Amino acid sequence: MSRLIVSRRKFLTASAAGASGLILAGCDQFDFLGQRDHPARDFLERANTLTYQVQRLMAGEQALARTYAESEIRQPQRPNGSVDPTTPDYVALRDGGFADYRLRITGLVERELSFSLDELRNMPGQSQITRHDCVEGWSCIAKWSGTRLGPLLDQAGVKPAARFCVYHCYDVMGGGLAGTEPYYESSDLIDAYHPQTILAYGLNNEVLPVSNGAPVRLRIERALGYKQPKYLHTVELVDSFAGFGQGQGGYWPDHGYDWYGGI
Amino acid sequence: MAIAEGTLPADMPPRAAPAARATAAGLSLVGAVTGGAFTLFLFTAPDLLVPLGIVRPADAVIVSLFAAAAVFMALGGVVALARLGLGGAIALIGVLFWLAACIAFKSFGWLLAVPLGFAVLGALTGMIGNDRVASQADPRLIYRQDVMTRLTHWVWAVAMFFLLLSGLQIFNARPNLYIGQESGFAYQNSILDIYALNREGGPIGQTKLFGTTFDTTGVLGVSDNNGRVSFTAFPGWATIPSYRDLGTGRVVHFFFAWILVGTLLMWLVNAISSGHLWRDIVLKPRDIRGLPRDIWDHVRLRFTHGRSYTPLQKVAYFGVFAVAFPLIILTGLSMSPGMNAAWPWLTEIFGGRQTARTIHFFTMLAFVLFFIVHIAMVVLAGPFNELRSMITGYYRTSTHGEEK
Repeated sequence: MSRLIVSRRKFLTASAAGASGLILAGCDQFDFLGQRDHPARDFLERANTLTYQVQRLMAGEQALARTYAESEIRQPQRPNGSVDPTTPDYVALRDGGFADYRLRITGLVERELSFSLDELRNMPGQSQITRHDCVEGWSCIAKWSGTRLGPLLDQAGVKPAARFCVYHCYDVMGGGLAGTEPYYESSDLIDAYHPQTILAYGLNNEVLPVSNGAPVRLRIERALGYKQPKYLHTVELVDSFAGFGQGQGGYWPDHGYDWYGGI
Repeated sequence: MAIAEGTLPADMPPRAAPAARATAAGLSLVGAVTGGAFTLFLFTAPDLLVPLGIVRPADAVIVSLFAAAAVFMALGGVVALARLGLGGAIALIGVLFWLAACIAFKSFGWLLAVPLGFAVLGALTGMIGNDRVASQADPRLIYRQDVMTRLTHWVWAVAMFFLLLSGLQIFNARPNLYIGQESGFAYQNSILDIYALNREGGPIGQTKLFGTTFDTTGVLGVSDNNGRVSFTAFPGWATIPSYRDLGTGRVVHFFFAWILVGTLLMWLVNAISSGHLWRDIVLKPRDIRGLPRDIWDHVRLRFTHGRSYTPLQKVAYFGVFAVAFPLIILTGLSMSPGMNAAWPWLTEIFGGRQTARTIHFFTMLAFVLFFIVHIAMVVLAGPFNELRSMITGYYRTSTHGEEK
């Protein structure tokens, strides 16, 4: 038995070595998980698909995001990401007061449509006071006014092959050596048709300002801020994300964020 | 106690020692041979491993770690033929070396998992086989932790490690904690802010907690990351990845969150059906009455090693399972906008999303404190016996009298 106890002692020493290895590991030993194409990361990312499917099961298609009272709007909506796009197309539109703005619905639809800002404003509108949750961790409550995306999709006639909406924006991200990439996002048709998914043109009882996405910003209220594309110009119905950006379904998903964005 | 009379639980029938010896030795030796072959290729012809997914060269330290692991596995296998428990323990040292080598090599592919798997099975067969037989001869050596408790314990250890470090990465994206539904930008509702300031002597890190400001240069706000000044709230050595990468932090965090919740459910089902939950975890009036005495015993470092936990241990484990785990999981879910739509009441019981985020953070601190006390108690109460009970399940009991 005494020999056995010696072995336990050895064993403890070795476990201490192992434990300190794990502590040292905190330095940069797991940085390889940051490589987008690493098999270990691919494996971990499967959890995001699980989250998406389980949340769709739990919330269903129609469950609403929580809404708040007017009195709970205590500050202006915090702008984040692009706040003043400089692409020539956008600058021209902005300087013309968005008079020439058209929102297009294209892709897998029976009829490609486009709407002016006035046409959108004259459609049945709705306002909702919701909490905007940024992926960084902060939240901000604001009142968003606009018209629902769902009826416009019905008007265009979504083809049965369509599975997702891709939302194309005027703003570009990045720069420097890697060059710029246009901002885009996407959602499934459940989020596109959700009763709170609106093409927002108003914020806190004012016209939507440039810093928050003028003239039109999409609100997908059951998802994080990066799923609320600003400076929207085209809604394209597609059956896959191949061919857009790096194929992950959005600017931030192309840069390592989960596509679902509901968590 | 009947269980201490040398009988074994029904699910652990005694097995013939020679068969266990042969199995433990065989498994450890297969681990040693496959591990040794891998190390040899890595050292002499790493190109041959490229088609198998090993594309990185290994330096001398890493090759030595792999080699030492294979040597311990082989030694454990040979020793197990004569002394089952000792052989198993030596094979386990090989396992730890192999893990350390994998971490240093930054690779965890299936090729590396094969020797590891065999050696783990060999080590466990040896150590468990030894303790089964030993417990028949020694009435004080009892079977205390069943296989589900042991398995989930180690899975949680790994999962909590990754959850902590990836969680600090996520926190760094917004190193402020608020009270309420939203974050105050036009007004003040934060209770913790970690930030950097530019001063004449260089940048300083500050932490403001409940209105009191502390200088935390070097650790929080401003720190050194491999020779470069980093302006993250928590330093690079405390986050995964070590650099700013919120997307990866979220991938790691949510994966291990699923692992944690899944294994907690498995543990709960087993703990209810086996009686472990009611017998060892749930606090009863008797435990509350025995608490002052047990605290006094702990203060004097006089520990009782019994079939079940002492009152203070029960308070700790009951707190973890009934308060801390539910709290950290539910506040985590409260931060998900998708969950807010599914369960609108959840965020409200915590007083809003930002309060839930704050509670999530402070529950994390409670877990860190638990971890420190947990390790300290294992060391003080007899690390060999405590580790043994979490590896083979067998535990040497004692009474106060024998402790003196």
